[in-house]
Amino acid sequence: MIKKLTLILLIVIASVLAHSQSQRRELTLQEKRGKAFYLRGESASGKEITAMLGEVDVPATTLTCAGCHGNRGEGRTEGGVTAGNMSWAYLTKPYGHADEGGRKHAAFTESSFVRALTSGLDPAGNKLAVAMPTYRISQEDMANLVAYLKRIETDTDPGLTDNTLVLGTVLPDKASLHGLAQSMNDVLQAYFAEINSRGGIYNRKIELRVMYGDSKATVSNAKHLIDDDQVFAMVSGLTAGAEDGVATLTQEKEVPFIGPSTLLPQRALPLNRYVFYLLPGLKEQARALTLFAAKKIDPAKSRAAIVSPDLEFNRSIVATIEEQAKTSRWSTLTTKYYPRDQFAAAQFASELKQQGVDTVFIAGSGVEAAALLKAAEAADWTASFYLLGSLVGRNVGDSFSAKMKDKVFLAFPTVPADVSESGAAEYTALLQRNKLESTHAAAQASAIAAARILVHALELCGKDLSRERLVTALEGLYEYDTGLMPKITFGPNRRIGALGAYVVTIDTQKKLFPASVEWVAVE
Amino acid sequence: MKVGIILLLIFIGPVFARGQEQKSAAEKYFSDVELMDQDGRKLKFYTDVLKGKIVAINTFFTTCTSICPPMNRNFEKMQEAVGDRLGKDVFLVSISVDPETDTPTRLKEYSKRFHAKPGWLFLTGKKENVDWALYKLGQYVEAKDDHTSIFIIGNEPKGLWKKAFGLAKPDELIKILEDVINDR
Repeated sequence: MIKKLTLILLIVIASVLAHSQSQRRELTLQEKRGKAFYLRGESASGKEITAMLGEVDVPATTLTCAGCHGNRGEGRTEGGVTAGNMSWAYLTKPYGHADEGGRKHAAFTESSFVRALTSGLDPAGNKLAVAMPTYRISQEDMANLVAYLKRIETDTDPGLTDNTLVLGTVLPDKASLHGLAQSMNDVLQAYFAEINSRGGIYNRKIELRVMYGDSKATVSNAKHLIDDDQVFAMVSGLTAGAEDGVATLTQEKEVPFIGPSTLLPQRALPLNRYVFYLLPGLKEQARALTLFAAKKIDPAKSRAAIVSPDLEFNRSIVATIEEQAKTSRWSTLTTKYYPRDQFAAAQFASELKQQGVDTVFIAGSGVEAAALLKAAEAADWTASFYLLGSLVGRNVGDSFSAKMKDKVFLAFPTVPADVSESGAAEYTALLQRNKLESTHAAAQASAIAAARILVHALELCGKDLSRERLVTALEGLYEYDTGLMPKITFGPNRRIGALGAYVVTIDTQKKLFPASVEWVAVE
Repeated sequence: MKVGIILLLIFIGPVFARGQEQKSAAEKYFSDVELMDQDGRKLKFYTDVLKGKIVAINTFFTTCTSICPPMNRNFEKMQEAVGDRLGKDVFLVSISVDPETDTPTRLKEYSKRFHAKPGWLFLTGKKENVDWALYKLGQYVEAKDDHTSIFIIGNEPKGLWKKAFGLAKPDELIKILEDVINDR
């Protein structure tokens, strides 16, 4: 009887332990403060802590513990200098330490640890390695640090337990855009459910949290996912119209975001480490288009013009073309703006023809581009026209005759040929298995591509996952083929997977799209 | 010897002193692979970086969070000590061991952290070129984390080269630099 009770008790304890292990315990306030010092050299008092290295004193924020000892306190060697393991269990192991240089000392205690940090002496009174700074740090900060070091080994990033991985995505309002949000959500949920049914990733099941709302709500939705739902990373979704806010948020919270759909990826320097865009935005496409045009004609002998509606959004694209044209040393480039809805295409065409313009970049809509192309044909003006496919759509091909087919060039982020046979088959199979319909196929494909890239990177990370590791794994991707879009390459200085654009022509007679294709890479 | 002040003083000796032919022995040895500085200028390794100069060279990478910042802080102290001579006959040279990440733009950004003045070069370039330059200096490493904490301080015209521990006290490093300047 007693035996039986003991057995039951053991089982109960075991299951409680198992349960508590898989639950991530929140850091206490003290541990959080210790972590802020460990990772960033910040004091809970808000005052600056000074680090002394030799005779040089610098703010502790530039010589953080994590900088040498690693984010998880695992220790590492660089430049022949070894920074030891910082977990409390290691520091206090009862049989003490003997380091590579022959320095020996007993286990650390809280007071000898404090002495090491403030005076640079180990428990035996030996000087610490020369690369180890000493810190002018208050007792409170020191206590916080010790509290955190006692937790550091089990402190994982949010959204992560031994058997779950929480991801988030921001989608448009369900009622808008003809159910685009639902279509993307459906394939994402199905894709991750299938991964989970195969055992997840290193035994972690993926949970996808979704927030819906228009572009005004995107940032607060993302913030909700990060702060309240504690997602580990963000994947896919639509961030158009909220690019700046989302980029700032992910940077501040250090949350990786893989494959948000937008026409304006943020790539200003210094680089935002956390957002990984898959496809080029309008500016990258405009740049590729200009580079392509510079190969078609000698820029030194060419007269070029940019025609654009006078709107802030279009002006930013115009600025990119102007900048690239300058780099390509275009001899003459004039920009002509028109008020939207008041585009006098015929007048523009005759004026530009008179000026001898041979290269025209159009930063306007499909209707405006069609009007200018028609007017050009009517005026017998034989210039080359460069259009942004995402703005004009491929139907612009209906507005000019076969005569113009080799004179009109369109930039696109992706072309049908990017979808490989296996990529298409897998997409169809995913829909069939999950009884889903192919609606908004391009958006669904981009969602699956983003999910696939994330899963691939997670697999590369191994079981010991952290946001930092994920970012590093993504940075290592080279020509990764999702089967659904151009091959994806990231790098330490590269956050747009397919950096460039296709420049295509349309055969108006044969209704062939595209008639010719060339990928133009952008630096 | 105290761990804190390990100073390795290795005289490579005036092995380059006899170069009388068209190409000096030093030029042949170091070669003129093309490197690039933080302003995007293309530099020939021997001719533009070493020839006729007194140089202090270290290796680093911009994403390094551990020993590179204090080593470059020491370079900053050396920059202060050198004063007006920086960029005339004395140059500081920091070579990236991660040239694929460290573009000139990144290097420029990084150089500002250490208040680098003209005459302190942060070098990158094509990986094979940077690797070659590092190899010739005995500083080539497979993994960036393995880069050394050694400063190479040399007086090229005199053929005097010394090595010093990059995390030593600034005063000690400045003294070695002064000795090399004065061919001692």
